[in-house]
Amino acid sequence: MNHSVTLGRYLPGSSFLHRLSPRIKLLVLLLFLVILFMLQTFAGLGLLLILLLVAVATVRIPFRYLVGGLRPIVYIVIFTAVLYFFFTKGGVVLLRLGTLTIEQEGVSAGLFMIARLVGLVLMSLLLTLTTSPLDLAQGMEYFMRPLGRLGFPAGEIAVIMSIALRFIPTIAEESQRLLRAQQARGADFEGGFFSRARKFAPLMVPLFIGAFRRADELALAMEARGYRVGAARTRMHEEKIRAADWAVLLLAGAALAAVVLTGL
Amino acid sequence: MLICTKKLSYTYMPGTSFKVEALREIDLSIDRGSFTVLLGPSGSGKSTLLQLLGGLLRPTEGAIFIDGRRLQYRRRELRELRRRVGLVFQEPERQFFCETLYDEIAFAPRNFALPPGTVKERVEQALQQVGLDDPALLQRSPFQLSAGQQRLAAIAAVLAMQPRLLLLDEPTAGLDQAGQRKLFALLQQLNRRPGFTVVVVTHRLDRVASLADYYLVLDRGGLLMEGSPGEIFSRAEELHRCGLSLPPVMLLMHELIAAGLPFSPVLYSIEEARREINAWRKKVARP
Repeated sequence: MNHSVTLGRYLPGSSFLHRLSPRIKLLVLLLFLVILFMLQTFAGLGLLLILLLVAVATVRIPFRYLVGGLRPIVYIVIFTAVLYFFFTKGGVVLLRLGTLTIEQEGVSAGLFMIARLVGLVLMSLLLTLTTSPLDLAQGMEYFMRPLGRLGFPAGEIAVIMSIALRFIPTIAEESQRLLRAQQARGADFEGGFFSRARKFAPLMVPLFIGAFRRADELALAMEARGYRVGAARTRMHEEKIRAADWAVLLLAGAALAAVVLTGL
Repeated sequence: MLICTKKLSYTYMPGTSFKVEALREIDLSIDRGSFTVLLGPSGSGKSTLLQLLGGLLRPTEGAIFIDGRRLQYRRRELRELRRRVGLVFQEPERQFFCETLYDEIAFAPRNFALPPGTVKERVEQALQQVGLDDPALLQRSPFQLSAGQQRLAAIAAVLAMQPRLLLLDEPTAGLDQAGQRKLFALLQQLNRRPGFTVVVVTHRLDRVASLADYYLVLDRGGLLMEGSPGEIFSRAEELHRCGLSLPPVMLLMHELIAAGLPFSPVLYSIEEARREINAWRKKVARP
């Protein structure tokens, strides 16, 4: 299995965050996104990062997962750092490399941006690591439901999302299997990007054929179980919003208000 | 001895909470020219073992020895291994991607950079071996073949590398009776060539399983038993316990053996059982 698959992959558990209603989690994420982009000081951002790390600790996610989840943004972080360090001017000159200089304001603006990025990724990781894709899709459907009155197919979009999420690991596994199967026939997938791109057909063609076949079978299976586009669906498990959910939402709202009022 | 393994272990996604110990400390050996069947219920690690033997997975622990030399997983060594060891995956026709049957079969020989003349020879030989040597088929799409023909074509695509060892994962799965019979005959015919080794993975004691001269039985990642047909089928009770039930005709033969009749405990097809019983009846009728 490819390790990048662990990025944001749901880890079943029973922590407080796991048990929180997905709808509330989505709302709280939204509130914290606003907070993240309203924060103007290092103190405020530091406080938020500490809060996020405390949240991570309560979920008891292995540290590896977190590092693995942050790995994809390493390049963005480096790019951001280079951009800010070299091109934002002002303050004391810290370093001089020929005609390039690194100045104090560039460094502080760069670090601020990186802290924001890390906060952003940590927040979304907290959501996806503690919420099953299906719950997530249903939560999103709930917020899209009002649009249904305007003819927006909220239910269908939710089905499409949950099917897509459900099949990501399946397709990833299938591609690993195909990779090995074609290697057994002497295909060499090592080497540079261009030589790999040329050898794409033996992987992509069977992968697509398989995906189409699977889609056909799934459509048939869904219809056999009475699925109809546009029909109202009920749920076996209606998830309820409990007191703890309301409390968390309230706290998040209070945090936003505090940030606005104190100008942290 | 052709291949042997020492304390071979494989764990999927080690070091994560998704880790699965597929194989634990497997010691086995496969003789040159043998027909070995790897038996085991689903989830017992058969497919993983097959892919390890084909050099497609790297063991988490332990080692594989080929002709006495330890496999080091160097690139050149792996290429040589893949040429000599043909691995037919489960439902291998799902790997098809070419527009014509010819290109599909030629994929492997071309990957080993053989000259065009040799490639053509190899394709023709491989198709002839599996009985698809109708020249009209060559330019047809592999997807237009029947299910049974597709399976044979997929095996031909591996045979075109001219391997000395053929590993097949559930080769009869999803085939009808006629297709299974053809496959059965093909494997038997391949194994008859001197030094050609066949290893078949299956979870059913079907006709293909009856071809074996040596059995390896896996259960939950460990080697439960190994031996000749006689040794394995005299332990039918244990086979049954790990979910490998014997076909009805075998249960009958076992009852007869238990009742003291002189049959040997091998894997019988209905036809073979009938012949055995009739022969015995004739012997008893004319003392």
